[in-house]
Amino acid sequence: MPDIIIPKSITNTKIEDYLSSISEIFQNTDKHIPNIHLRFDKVIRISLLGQLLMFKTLEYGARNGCFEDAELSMSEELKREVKSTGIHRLLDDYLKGKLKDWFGKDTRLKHEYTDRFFIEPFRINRSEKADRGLSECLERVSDFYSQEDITISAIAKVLSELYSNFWEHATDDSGTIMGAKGSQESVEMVFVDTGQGILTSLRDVYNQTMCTLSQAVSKGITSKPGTNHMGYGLWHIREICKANKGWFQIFSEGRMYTLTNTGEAEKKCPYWHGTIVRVEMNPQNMQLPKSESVANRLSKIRWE
Amino acid sequence: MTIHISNITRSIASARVGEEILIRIRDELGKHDVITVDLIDVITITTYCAKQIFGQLYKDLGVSEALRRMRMINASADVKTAIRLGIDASLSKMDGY
Repeated sequence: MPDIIIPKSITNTKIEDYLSSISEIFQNTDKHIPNIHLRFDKVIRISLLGQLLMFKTLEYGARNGCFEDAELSMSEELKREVKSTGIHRLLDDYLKGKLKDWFGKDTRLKHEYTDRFFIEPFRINRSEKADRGLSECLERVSDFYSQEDITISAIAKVLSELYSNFWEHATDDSGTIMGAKGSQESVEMVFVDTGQGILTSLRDVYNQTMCTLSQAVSKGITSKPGTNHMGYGLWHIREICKANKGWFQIFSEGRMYTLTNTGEAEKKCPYWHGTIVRVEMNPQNMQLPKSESVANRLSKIRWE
Repeated sequence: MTIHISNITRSIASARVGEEILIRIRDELGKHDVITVDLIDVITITTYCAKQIFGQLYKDLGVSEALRRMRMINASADVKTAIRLGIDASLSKMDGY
């Protein structure tokens, strides 16, 4: 089997190129292909999402028997970037201590900037630790955008609804990983898993005609009808992004949905086993979507 | 009797946390005729948890009793919206609603 050569940029506009470069890994589940060389040595630029994708690719391959004793090469630029986000600690799970030679002492780089915040990638699984991770994330957002209640509400809504969605599908120990970063000009939230995938989940409920991500972000569509899931989460995120001219991207099982300030589109893309979500918005002067009107009976709720 | 939700969590986003809050409110309703649910400093609640907690409570008590026995204070606009949606979704299939 040839080397798997990763493109030099794993940035937000080059995600399809990355997915294309690693797609054969998903085809080799339980094949234990020997002597694979995973070549990240050409990578010179990588975004936060790119790092999460890199990690989940390696983890999926290792956990699902896609390769046996694979060799991993990383460029110096990539090592610096990986160490700066802290994701090398998650990578170490896969590489079983080999990373310590590459990154030196496991000293966390301190993010001491006052003009931005960073949420180190962490796992979403069915644990209290994960819930605490989200709480800490939201506290950081609240502290950073203090005095901007609507900004905090909008970002918190996106983070919590995505957390809830991915939490629901975190059925094994690997789980989703999420991360976020922000400044006064931009806030970005990214989630990546290698689970069942949105389209497969929906097809189980709605039959084969439910085969687009655009349908998945529509109001009332849920893979778990008859539960507390109402099918409002992804739709609400979409509405928040529309109201604030933000970006909302979903990649899952060979399809890609994108909402930008110029409109929505969906198309085929290279395969990813699972789901990738990225949201980016400008936190200045944010708005919440207009409130849903609900049954008049509920107007009597005593809000004080 | 007032339950300060933010003492439990400021982000109501997982089923585990939602269940904890639901149990707490039910306990207090078992002891007091009228309770106050204080949502001050609660940053967000997912629609899932809104239905899990408040949708279930309104279903348990019925709309009239829930309106009488639960007073909700200091919720942000976004939290109010999510709670309304959760209650509405929970009750929408009930006869007479």
